[in-house]
Amino acid sequence: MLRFIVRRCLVLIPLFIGVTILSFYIANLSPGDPVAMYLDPYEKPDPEKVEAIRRELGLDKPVITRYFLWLAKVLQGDLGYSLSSKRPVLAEIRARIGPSLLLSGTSLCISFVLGISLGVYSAMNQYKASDYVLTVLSFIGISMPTFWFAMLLIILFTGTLGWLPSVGMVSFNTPPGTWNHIVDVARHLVMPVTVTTLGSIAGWARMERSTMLEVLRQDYIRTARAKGIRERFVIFRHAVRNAALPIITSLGMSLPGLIGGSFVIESIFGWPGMGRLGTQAIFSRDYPIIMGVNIISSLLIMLGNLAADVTYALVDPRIRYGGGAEK
Amino acid sequence: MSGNGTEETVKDTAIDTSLDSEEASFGKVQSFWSTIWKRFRRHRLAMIGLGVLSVLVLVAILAPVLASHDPTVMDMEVLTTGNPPAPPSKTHWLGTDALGRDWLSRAIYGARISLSVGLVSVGISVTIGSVLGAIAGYYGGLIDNIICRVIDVLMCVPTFFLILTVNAFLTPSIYNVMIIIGVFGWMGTARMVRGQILSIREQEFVEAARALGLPDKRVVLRHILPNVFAQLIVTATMGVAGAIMTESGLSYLGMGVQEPFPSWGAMLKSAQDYLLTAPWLAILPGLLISITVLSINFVGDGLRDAIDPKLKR
Repeated sequence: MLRFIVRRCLVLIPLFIGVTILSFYIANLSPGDPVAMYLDPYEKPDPEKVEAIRRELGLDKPVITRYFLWLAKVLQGDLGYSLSSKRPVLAEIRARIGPSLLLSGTSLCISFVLGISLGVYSAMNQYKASDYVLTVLSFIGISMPTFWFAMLLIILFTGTLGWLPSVGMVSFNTPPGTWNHIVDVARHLVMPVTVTTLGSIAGWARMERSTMLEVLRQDYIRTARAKGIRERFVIFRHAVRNAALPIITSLGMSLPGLIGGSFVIESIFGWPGMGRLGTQAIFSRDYPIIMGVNIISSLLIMLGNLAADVTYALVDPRIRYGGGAEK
Repeated sequence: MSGNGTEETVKDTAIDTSLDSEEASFGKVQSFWSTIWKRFRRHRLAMIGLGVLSVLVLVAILAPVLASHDPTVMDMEVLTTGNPPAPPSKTHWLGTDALGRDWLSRAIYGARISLSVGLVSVGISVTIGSVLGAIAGYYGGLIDNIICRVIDVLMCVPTFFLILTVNAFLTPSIYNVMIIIGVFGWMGTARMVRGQILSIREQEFVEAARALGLPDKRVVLRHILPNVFAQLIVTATMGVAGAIMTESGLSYLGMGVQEPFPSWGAMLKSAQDYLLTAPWLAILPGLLISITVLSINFVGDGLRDAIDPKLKR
């Protein structure tokens, strides 16, 4: 098991290097001279000063040298400074990562539990009216743009009913640590979580339904039924456990979507998370932040995939002892 | 979705299986595509999806005929009489946006943009994906390794953010949106093609083709790829839905299709500012995106079932 984990971790190294190359390349692709940001736009640029800044920023060196200089800094945890707030990128991201994880974690848990239950229910009632309705509903859930659903919720719950706040994570007048604070954050969470949950519930339900149906056709299920085990046990002891395997893999695979989706959702609800930081950075061309957000979210996705793979190996001994963990 | 409808679906599947066995027992020769079409026709939701999509495509093509107003022209009368955006009226059935442009006409023209972005970007991503996937799967070895690692890296980067970033660096235009969505969307296709080719490569007919001394290009293009084609169509169909979603997300954030051209996502962006004062604006564009994506997903699902009846549930 340990060997499996170590080997799996080693795979992350080239992957991480690939991500840094990509981030660096894209930031380099950006139009405009970065030096311009350090010059007074109302003054005629002094060539000597331009040269000095260029040297200071390391722009006089070739791209490859610059990449390695930058990578060395990244590995030491130095992602540079935000161009707009002048604060260290890592500090900016650290302040935003908590709210992001709160939002995506909550919706992942809810959608996972609900989606899996609905999928099992659907599979047990295959071709009945309820299965049919659930299938169509989950198709609708997958097909609705999340931001549109968000707009509809805002119209209803903030506009018409006035029940829920539509912007931010917490109101101004609630000191942290109090009961009111928790309730307030929860109230702010309701709509963003509902929105992010909707699409993924549908996805989970559809996937769980099809894997369950596949498992239910297996011989060991027939054996279990033939032994006279109660249907409830057949489903929950024999079928659901075996259907869990592909679900674990997709749990890891769902992370990019979860993090990617947060870019839009956090912008709509003004949620102070990493996604909003990223989109704002794009609008203000704040390259260090863009690179930082890219690297940190890729890192989160990689770690999520790693966790999924390790869980998979824990659950399924064939992977552990099978030697090659080839996909 | 009445109980009646469900009963019929159950009956449908019963007919379906009997038909399959009939085909087997009579041994009637049928072409691959006509079999698929026959199976596809039994998939009720897919047929509905196909119908809706045809209507949408017609609307997109006939936009100049159907739209009552020019989508980019401002109606000065509306602008002066009422506070923008104007509510639905006789001249503007669904009202206007804040600039006095007819909302329904914009939505009709929006179909052109959203559908063409979806189709073109998927064209790009499927081309890249199948070429790279075919190369990786057929040749294996180092080149396969390189392509797979690139896919791995792109798969663990938040793609939407990447698209957003690159888009911000380029001059925003509908063509750039198409290209970027295509360029960052090929990984799934490549993986699928590679996997399929890995298994097809080992079959006898490929060996026979090679034994005949055919050049690699011909073996791949004429003997292997046609076998992947059916799967490719399913992936592409689903891809169109994804691309339309991505485009609407980009345009919604103001990074996609730019003013004055109407795309459904961009329309939602302009509706966003009036959520509490003119909420009706938000309904139509979002509904259109949902219906389009839903129909495409139904068609994709039907195609998958038709192409691979083993997966039929």
